[in-house]
Amino acid sequence: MKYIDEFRDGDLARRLGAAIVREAEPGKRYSFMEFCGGHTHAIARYGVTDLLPPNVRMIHGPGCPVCVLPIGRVDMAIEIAQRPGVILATYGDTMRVPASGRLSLLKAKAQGADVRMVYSTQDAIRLAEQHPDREVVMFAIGFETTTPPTALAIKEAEAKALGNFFVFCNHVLTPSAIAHILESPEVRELGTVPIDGFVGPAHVSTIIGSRPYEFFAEEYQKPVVIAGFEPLDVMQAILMLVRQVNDGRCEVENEFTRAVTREGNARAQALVAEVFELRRAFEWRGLGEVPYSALRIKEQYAAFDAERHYALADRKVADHKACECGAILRGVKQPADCKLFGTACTPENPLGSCMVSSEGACAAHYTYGRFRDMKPRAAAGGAAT
Amino acid sequence: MDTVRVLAIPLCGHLAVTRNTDFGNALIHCTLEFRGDPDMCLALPVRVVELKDGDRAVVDLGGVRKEVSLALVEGVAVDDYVILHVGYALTRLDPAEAERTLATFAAAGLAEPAGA
Repeated sequence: MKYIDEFRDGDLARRLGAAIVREAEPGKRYSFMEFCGGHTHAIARYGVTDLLPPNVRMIHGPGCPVCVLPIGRVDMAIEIAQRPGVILATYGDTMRVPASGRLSLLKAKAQGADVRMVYSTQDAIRLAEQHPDREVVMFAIGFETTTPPTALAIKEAEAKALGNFFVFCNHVLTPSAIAHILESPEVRELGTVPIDGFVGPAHVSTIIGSRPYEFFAEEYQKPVVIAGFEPLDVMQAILMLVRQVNDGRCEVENEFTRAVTREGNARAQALVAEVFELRRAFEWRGLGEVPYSALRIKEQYAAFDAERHYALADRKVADHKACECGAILRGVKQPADCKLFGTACTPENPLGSCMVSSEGACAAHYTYGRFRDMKPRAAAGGAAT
Repeated sequence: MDTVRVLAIPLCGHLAVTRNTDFGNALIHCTLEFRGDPDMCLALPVRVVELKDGDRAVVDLGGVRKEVSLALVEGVAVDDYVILHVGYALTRLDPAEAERTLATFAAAGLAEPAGA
């Protein structure tokens, strides 16, 4: 298909790989974090790591909306779904996220809760129109890409005077999470997570533009290259990051110019600003409480806010003791470092959120990378890190 | 040419698409993008084939037609490519920039032959 196939060309990928090998200086270390789960997925699926020299290392970031949703928020969604008369509309990926008491939305549905998977917020609006006697709640999650569609749904509900449509808002913000990672002791003091640059989000950047990353390049002296989600995009971005490190530059570069501008999508930004405001803090799985990292519905649209309507209180629930999702989301550990990986925790029966979503680091590694690990491990013996 | 056909539309309403390739009946299993995973960033470039009332449009995903919303983008015309995500076009794709990026790949890769 156009704009897909040509960005997956195997020959070009090998040539780009050769260019990275040629330009990465052997004595130097290059650790780059790909923030987005979409990039994590592409790197695993197309075997990008195999084309990189050993001193160029990719670290998975927390940019997977399902992965960073803490158990407490999923518990709250289940509690809403179990109320009599409620239809909970949700994106498909959240269905299998493990919650407290061995529940998930899928299991709650099996027990009789009316949970409906929707493709779009428009489907949730339609449900509310079709069932005027029921309360329809959209379980809204995601980064800056899914937020404008939620804002549009709230505006549409207002225009149509839908009194039975509500949004359980869990939208989070990419720049706050990047700042949090850069401020974390692992990156700043301990050095356990060395980050020499970022592969910046693709579709999030179509909305927010490339400008928000300029702060990270200047303030934290980290190069950022915004990249599309196809494998050649990722490889070109890695090459651009290698060049920035070699030149001692810390700039925001844009590889995804076919979709991303410096300003982003002004219409979407205005919509979000109209309907949502910042939360003082929000809990992320793995990162903990991150200040000003999420959105809530403004007072003006309070009538559509499920948290206000049901008077829901935040709750904190600890992750499964042996689950390493938290450390993996911070870049401290790799999926294979987790004892549960591939044994108790699989995509069919996930214990942690990183195994649920296909862009989660564990699911991507389980699907595309888990056999790759075996050879080098056996061959390298104790030498491997 | 690959032909693409819809095998099933699961409960979640995501399109599950399978490619029937030239290699006999070998079926390359439905790509993740088509499976939807709508809360994720795995959005797709799709071609607009028809504009409808109320910011709506019909798009073509490799042979599969779907009605989506154009409420977040301005000035989209038939035959434009947009990036589709959870039923909404997020942005228009710039064909000239796409060509430029492909030329950059080729330039970076051709400095020396692969494997040199």
